[in-house]
This record gives sequence, C-alpha cells and structure tokens, in this order.
Amino acid sequence: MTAAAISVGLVEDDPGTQERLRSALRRAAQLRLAYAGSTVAQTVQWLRSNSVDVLLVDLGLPDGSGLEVIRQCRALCPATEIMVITMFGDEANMMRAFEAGARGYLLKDGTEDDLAEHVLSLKAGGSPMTPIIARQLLARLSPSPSSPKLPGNSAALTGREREILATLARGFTYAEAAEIMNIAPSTVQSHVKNIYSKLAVHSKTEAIFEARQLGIL
Amino acid sequence: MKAWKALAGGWCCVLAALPCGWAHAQDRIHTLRVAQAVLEPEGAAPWAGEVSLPHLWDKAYPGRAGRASYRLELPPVPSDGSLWGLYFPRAGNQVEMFLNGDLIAHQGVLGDTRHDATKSPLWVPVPARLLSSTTPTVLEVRLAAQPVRWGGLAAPQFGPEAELLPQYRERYIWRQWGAVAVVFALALTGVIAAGLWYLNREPVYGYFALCAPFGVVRFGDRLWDVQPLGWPLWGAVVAFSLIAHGLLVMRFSLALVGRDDAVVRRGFWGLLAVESALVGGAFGLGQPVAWTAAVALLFVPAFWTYAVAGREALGSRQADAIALCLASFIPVGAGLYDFLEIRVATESVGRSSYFPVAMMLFVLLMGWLILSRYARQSSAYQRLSSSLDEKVRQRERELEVSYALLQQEHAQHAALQERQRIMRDIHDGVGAQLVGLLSLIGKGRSSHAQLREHANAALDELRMAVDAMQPVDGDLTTVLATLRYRLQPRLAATGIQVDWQVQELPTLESLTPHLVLQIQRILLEAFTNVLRHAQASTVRVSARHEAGPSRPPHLVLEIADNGVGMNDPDRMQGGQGLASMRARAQAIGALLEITSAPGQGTSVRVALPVSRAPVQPAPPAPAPASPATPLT
Repeated sequence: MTAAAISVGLVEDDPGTQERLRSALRRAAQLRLAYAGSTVAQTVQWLRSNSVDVLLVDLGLPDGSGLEVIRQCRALCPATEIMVITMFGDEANMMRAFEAGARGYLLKDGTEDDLAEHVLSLKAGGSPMTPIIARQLLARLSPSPSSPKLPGNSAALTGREREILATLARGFTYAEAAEIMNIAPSTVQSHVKNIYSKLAVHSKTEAIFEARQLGIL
Repeated sequence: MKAWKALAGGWCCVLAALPCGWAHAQDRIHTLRVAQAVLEPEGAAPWAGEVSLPHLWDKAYPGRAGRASYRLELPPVPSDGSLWGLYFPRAGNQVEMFLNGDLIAHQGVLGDTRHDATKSPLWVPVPARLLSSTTPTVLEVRLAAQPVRWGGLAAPQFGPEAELLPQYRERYIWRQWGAVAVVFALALTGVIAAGLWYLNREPVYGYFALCAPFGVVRFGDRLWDVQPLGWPLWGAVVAFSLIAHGLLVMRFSLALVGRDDAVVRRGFWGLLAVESALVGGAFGLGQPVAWTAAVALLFVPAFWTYAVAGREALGSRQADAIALCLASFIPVGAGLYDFLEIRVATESVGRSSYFPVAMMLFVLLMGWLILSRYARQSSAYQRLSSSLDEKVRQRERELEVSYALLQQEHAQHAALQERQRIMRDIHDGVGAQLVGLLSLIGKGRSSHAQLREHANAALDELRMAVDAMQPVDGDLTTVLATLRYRLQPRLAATGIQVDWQVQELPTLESLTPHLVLQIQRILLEAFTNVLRHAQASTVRVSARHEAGPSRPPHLVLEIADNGVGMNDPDRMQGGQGLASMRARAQAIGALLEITSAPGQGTSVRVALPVSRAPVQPAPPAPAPASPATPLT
C-alpha cells in the first residue's frame, strides 16, 4: 500500500491546525505527507521543483492569499488536486478558490479524523458542493442573454448539469440527486467536477473578455 | 419742482417764438380787416353794421345757427395784366363768394350741414376783368354757420397770385398734409401697438393701440370736406374722439412710466365721463363754452401726467420717462398754445393749429419707445430664460451632490445597522455559548462529552451566523438546504434517515440575514431535540407554500420525527429550548406549533407569512453609536 500512497502537501500557517492535520495524516495509511509549509513564497518555490498528488491550502497566509498558491500550483502541476482548508466553506471564499483551480475543501471543525476520507474522496473524483455555491453557479454559468459574445460556450452548463445543480441547491445529497435523476452517484460526482472546471474556464474567459473590453488585450 | 419750473419756462419761450416765423410784410397784399355785415341768427333779430375781421360766429351768437353776409371792398388794382386772387384762411361753415353780384366761388351749399368749408383754406382766383383800376370792387361773402362749429370769416387777403398763392399753399400744406402725416403715423404705430398687445397683452400696448383710431378720426376729419354725419352729431363724434385720444395717450404715458394703478384708472373713467358730458352739452345744447371747458379740462390730467413723468425722469432716471418728458413737451406745448390762441383769444381764427403736427412727432416717438420697450422685454426674457437655465443646472448639480450625500448616509446607516445586528447575533449566539462553556469548565464537574457538545454548539452558532450572511436572494430553500448540508454528517453518523421534502418556494423579499439566522436557530433546535431525545429512525423535513382562501399565503416548514414523542411538549425535558424556539418564532412574526403524542413522534411546524414587513426595519432616525446591550 505504501507504494500507492497518495502524497499530500500542506500549506497552513496556524501551528495548532498544522499539527492536528499532520497527526491526522500520519494516522492515515494511504496518505503520505510530502511537504508542509506556511507561506506562499516558500510553497511556490517548492512547487517549482516538486509535486504532490493532493495539496491542502489555507487561504489566509502571512505573505499573501492561498489563492495565489492554488493558481501557481495549477500552472506548475496541473495533475495536483487542490483542497482548501477553511473555517466556514463560505460562498465568497470558496467560489474564488474554485475559480483559481481548487476542487475540494476541508472544514476546520475538529473533524480532522475525516481528513483521510475527504482526501481519498477527492482523489476518487468527488468534490463537495454546498447548496449556496450550487445556486451561485447556476446563476453564473447559465448562458446569459446580456453577454452573448462571450466565447465561453464551452463554459456554459449543459441541461444535465443544471439539473444537478438545481437539485443540490434544494438540499439533496449526491446520493439522493443520483436517485432522483436516475443516474449513478459517481456520475453526479463527475458532473460536479466538470462544473468546477467550467467555472475556471468561465472566469478565465470572463477575464479575457473584460480585458478586451478595456483594451488591455 | 425746479424741473417743473424749467419746463414751464421752456414752454413760454417756445410759445412766444412760434408766431414770429409767420410775420409777412408785403405791400401789394391787402388784408381786409373790416366788413359791412348783415347777420341773421336763427331765433333772434337780424343785425347790420360794421364788423372787424376775423369775425367768429360762435362768439357773436353762441348756440345759434344763422346766416351772414359780409361786404368787403377790394382796392383798385393796376391793369398790368397780372393775375389776382383772394386767399381765405378760414371761411364757413358753408360759403359763397360774389364779386359785383356775380358768384365766383362756393364751398358747399349754404345750410347743408354735412359740408364744412372751414377745414381748409380757400384760394379764389379773381378774373382781372371784374376788377377796376380806379374804384374799389365790392366782394360779398355769404355764409351759413352752425353752432359750435367755429364758423365765421377770418380776414381774407387780396393780392397778386404770384405773391399770395404761395402763402395759401404753405398754409394748405401745413394744415392738410399735417393731418395726413399724423393720421398715417397714428395708423402705423397703432397697428404695431395692437400687434404687440395681441402678442403680449400688456396694458401699455393696449392703451396705445386704442388711442390710435380715436386720433385717426379726430385728425382725419380735416381731410374730408363732406362728412358722413350731419351737424352737430359729427361734431360730437370728433370732439369725443379728441377727448378719448387725449385721455388714452395720457394713460399710455403713465403706464409707460409704471403708473397704471387704481388712482389712474378711476381718474381716467371719471374724466372720460365728465368730458363726455361736456361734449354732450357743447354739441347737444349748442354751448361752445362747454367745449372750451372740455378742452381746458383736458390739460389738468395732461399736466399731471407730465409731472409724474417728470418726477420719474428726474428721480429714477428712467429712460422711458426721460424720453416721454422730452417727447410730450412739444404736443402739450402746442396744444396749450393752440388752445389759448384759437379757442380763448380767438384772434387768430385764420391760423392753423400746431397740435396735429406736434402730435405726429409725439406719436412717432412713442411708437419707437414701444418698440424699444418690446425689444428690451424680449431681451430681458431671453436673459431671464438663460439665467433660469443656469439656475436649473446649478440646482441639478446641488441635487446630485445632496443625493450622493444621502446615498452615502444611507449606506453608512445600513452598514452601521448591519454591524450592530452582527454584534447582537454574536452576543446572543456564539457569545452566550462560549460563556456557558466557560462556566461549565469553571464548575469542573462536566464530562468531556458535555464540554465537547457545548463547544460544538458554539461552533454551530458561529457557522449559522456566517451562513446567514451569505447571499440567498430571498430563497428560503437555499437556507434550509445549507442547514441540512451542515447537519448531514451528524445525522448520518447517528443513522437517522432524512426524508427531504423541500419544494421550490416563492421568493421571500423580507429574508434578511437576521430572519435567516432566527429560522436556522429554530430548525437547529428542532434537529438537536430529535438527535437528543426522539430516538427516531427517520426525520421528515418538508417545506411548502400554503395559501388558502381564508388565510394569507404562508411558507410552512415542518420537522417531524417518528420517535418516542411526548405527552406535553411544554413540560418535556429541554423545555428551555422550546421556549426559546417560540420566542424566536414570535420575534420574526412566525407561528410555531409543536404536536406530539407518546409513540407518535414529534412535529415542529413553523408557518411564516409571505408578505410582511422586514423583521428589522431600518429606522431613519439616528442609530445609537454603541450596541444597545453591552457584551457581558
């Protein structure tokens, strides 16, 4: 099993949280702590010559935002799955993290024992989605008549994806959604991942579109 | 008063200077000043005798019509073949001329009152063969006179045509063309004033427009030898026209200098009535004195008007008043002179009146004043309108600024309110939980599990406060879904199945963060009770929109378990929690119902009215600077 162990990087500036996460990782047999850092610069520097399977990132770092780490990691090691360590999983922070390229998050709620489960779940293709984020994505990624020139048709949601988001926004779990829509739970998960990818594409095209509008590009 | 004296002095000089220009000294021209007259007034005894010319019928027989015959002697003339003629400055009202008993000229038919020969001077050429070179030749002038018509005979002049005709022509031109000119000037300026009045409805234009036709009748009368009406009716019409013309010119002048008040109005109508009565007396009863009085009376308002204009001119240097004073100097003076010379002294019956010519100048000047006034007004309007535009723009700018300030204040107020709400929520929620936790730790008797539960509750409270601040846009479904998302791991851990029956709900406009937090707290309490006490295997969560014909629409949230239930929900363990649920429900205007029976499970039902005022209305009154309740 050690050969197949999943390498995990940890970026967290709070020593207490870092220590708890470290010990949780030590307890998980399938997980291997490959890196632990507490600043943006240090982590980005490390990522230039190394890579991990899963990177856990706190958003509030002493020398900058964890979002910067996520972006850099996305560019340097596209295969790495990124999880955000957050207190609340609130919409504003999560949305930006998902835009930057994160695919999951870990709540700092004292359930660090579940860390391994979360990481494995993410690695297996599952990303969490809160109803509020589902609702926001439904509004953001729906083809809007006001900006038909956006070349982001690839970023627009399919009918199925919208159905999934609407169901999740109403409070149903992945399993219930799969049952309602008569599909496998893993299909729901892959749909969710696709939706997050579209968010990243969408935010990029939006940025390009805005830049063009402003005459920067 | 000084100015008044100066003006009066000016008049005297002008009046004294006027006659000098017409002093002629021709030795071949004979002015016939004496006549043998036979006067036949109606209703009185005829009279015969010598009279000196000019002879004024109305003076000799006031109020009577009659006929007169004047015999004059023309001196012998040398028979050198030159042409001779007679120049009558004034003769009438109808007149026939006989030389040696032969009719040589006539104006009108004696007694035909529609004709008035006195209006224009007469030139009668005298055939040389009828004149003697040795003896005087007898000229007989017969005339018919009507009362108050200023008939009679002015001293005629006899002389060679070459010398006398130019005098006649000069007089004719003065008299006739003067009338033509003033009629033309009045018509022109009257039309202009009427047009301006039509466009502007300002009294000053109206008075002038109204005075013009009366003046046209008065001065135009001279141009018609044959009148449309008989005497004395026509005489009354013309006389009234002069009165009305004069009074309206004065009223116009007063209005021009800004005096158009009640005094002026009353004076105008009073004078018009008195003057009309005098005209009626003069022409109806044949009293020339009445007409003289009427004309004299006209000078009273004229001088008053002049004084008012003079005061304005000197006092406030008003341009219109100065122009008016200068312009009316001539007609007032000329009128006064005419009146004194012709009507009172009656010495110069043959002289032309200067008034019409003076009036023409005055009228033209007034026309110019009116036009300049109009031009001033329109440019003033233009300035006013442009300054109004500027004011409006400035006002708009000010409004924008104050609107921005108001917006800013609103934003600050809203932010302050929100901060206070968050403080209250922290205080009531996580604050209270942490204080409770501290006291548990202080007592030192609590188990690890109890402390953990308490800490978790504090964390839950904090999460809910954060969730309550997330954007849900009035969607209660999202609130419920989020709560479930938070609780799902715990419910799953205890093995309780969730039967999620949440429908799409209508948008709730009043769904403020405060309301969201209260609903979350109620529902969390309900879930906690299920987890702690119910021993249930399934909990059904349903949310639906209910609206009946008798009750307003409600959003109904229900949490029902299939657990052990209880006898009396209010007395069950954890009654404190139920009481706080009720209090919270009441605070947000919702209805809380708990139904339970042993073995039947428990159901908590919250009915929230759809249309209602926000729970936390933002009062516009200044908010307290510090939280209402201090943190303990």
